[in-house]
Amino acid sequence: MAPEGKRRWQADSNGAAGDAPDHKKMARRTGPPPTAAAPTVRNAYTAMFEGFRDHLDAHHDRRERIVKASRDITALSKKIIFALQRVRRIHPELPRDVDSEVTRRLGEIGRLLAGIAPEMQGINRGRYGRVLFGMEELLEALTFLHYLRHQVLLSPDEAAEQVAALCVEGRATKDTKDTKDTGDTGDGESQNDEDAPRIVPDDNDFLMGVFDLSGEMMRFATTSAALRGELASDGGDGADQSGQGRTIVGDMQELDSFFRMLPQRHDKSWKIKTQTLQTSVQKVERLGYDLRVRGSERPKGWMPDVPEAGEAGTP
Amino acid sequence: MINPRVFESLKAKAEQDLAVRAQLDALIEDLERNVAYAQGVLSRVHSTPRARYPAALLPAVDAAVADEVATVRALGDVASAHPYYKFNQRWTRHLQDAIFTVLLAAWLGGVAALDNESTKPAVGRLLTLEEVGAVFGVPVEIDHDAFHIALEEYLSALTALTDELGRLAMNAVTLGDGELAVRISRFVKDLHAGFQLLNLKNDFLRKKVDGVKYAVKKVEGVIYDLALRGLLPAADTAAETKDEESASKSAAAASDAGPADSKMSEP
Repeated sequence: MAPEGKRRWQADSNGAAGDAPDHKKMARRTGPPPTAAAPTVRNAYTAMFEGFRDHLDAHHDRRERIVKASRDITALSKKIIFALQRVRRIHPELPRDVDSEVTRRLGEIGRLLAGIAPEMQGINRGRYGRVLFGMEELLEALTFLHYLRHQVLLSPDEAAEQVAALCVEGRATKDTKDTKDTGDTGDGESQNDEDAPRIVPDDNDFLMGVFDLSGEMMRFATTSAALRGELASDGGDGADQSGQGRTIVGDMQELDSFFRMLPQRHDKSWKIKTQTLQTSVQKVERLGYDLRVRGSERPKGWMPDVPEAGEAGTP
Repeated sequence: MINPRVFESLKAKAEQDLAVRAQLDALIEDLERNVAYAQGVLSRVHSTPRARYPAALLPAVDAAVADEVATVRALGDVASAHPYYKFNQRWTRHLQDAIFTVLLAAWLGGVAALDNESTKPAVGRLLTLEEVGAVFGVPVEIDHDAFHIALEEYLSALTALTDELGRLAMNAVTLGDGELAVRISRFVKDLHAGFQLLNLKNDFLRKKVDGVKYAVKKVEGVIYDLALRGLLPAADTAAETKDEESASKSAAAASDAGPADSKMSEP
């Protein structure tokens, strides 16, 4: 018994530094009476709590890994959104530099998702769902990308498919890199995509992401109006403003109606995001009003007359 | 811009969630009522001498626990049809309180269903997480998505148990039962040592575990007062206490029990 007790105590001491002072105190107290057995801090419940410690440690470590991946996903998604804000018009094809940056960032996000996907299966998806806050940001980026290409809101099912595809591609890329790192090119792991673990966003992730999308649409509308003098839409360059084609103002209003018609929730984040959405809609509405009113004062493309330096006055 | 099917789908899901929430809330309200009643019955322990637990206290406690168990099972049946972590925040606090009542009842010798092995109720028995699950008839710490008792809920209930026993130690002395106070002191300090093994993060569980040290301080104050006035129980009574406690500990399925720290609690 005694040797086992000693060994176990040493193991505990390595695991939890806080136990050492207790041991010293006990040693000091039991010094005077002659005791053959070594002092121990174990009691009837120590084994039970050691099991609990292992369990909680695994849980905390898993959570920490997901938090780290989530932060990186958030940062990468924001970079994608910044790149998309450099787009100047709604068009199926993005400018080449923006397109390549978006593709590269999505690849990195895919690898991060593939890294944590095995730990986010079954009941763990809900347990760490709130911790995976990067998913909201990713959905904001994906919905914004889809809107800039097609002027249509990405559906939850399509979003889930895209995120799942990111996991699969990320895993494939990750496995390739791992193989290269180990140098074991002969190892032929079967890339069975059907069995690859996936992470799918839930409805809350989607709705929060679309709330955030409204903010990006407001920014895009403001930038587009400032630089091109017209409301963003997918009409041709020569499209007139006489009711043909949908503009971003109508889209923002539709988004606002969409959220008002859904069954309302009473949590704090929903209220804050609803309020922010309505503020964004009003900003874009004022933008449309200003362009309509002030834009009608002069023909499109008109410039004030600038007399040439060398010429005499006009007749 | 928005496909009408998207709206219809999200609206249907949201309305379904509201319906499930209402159903769960009704059951949780029943559980809350049962827990409050059980806590009320258990509060009589502070005015009941230990010798009268089997006759005056435990039957009512066991009946209250049986009501809790029925409600928890009904809640489990409904909750298992949905993702556990989607709604678990709604019931976790009340389930913790229910677990606490079961732990305290068993510590006092109650929860008759467990004592098939021995007819004699033993004071000082701590139910393990698995035993609590057996009392309620629900699984504990599973990896598939269904209703279960989480480890955090059990640990939180343990901290509540230390608080209640700290109060009981004082009232036991008032009723003239110094030996019970000594036993409580030893038990609370053992639990505190166990909690110190955990590597806790700064979450709600740590806040609860940090409170255990005040229970330790309280029971040590009680023992100090008894020792100072020479009111500690005699040595032969302490010997009996050790024997009973050893039996209780082995019943608690705790292996590799080291020597008891009786010297620390009896200066």
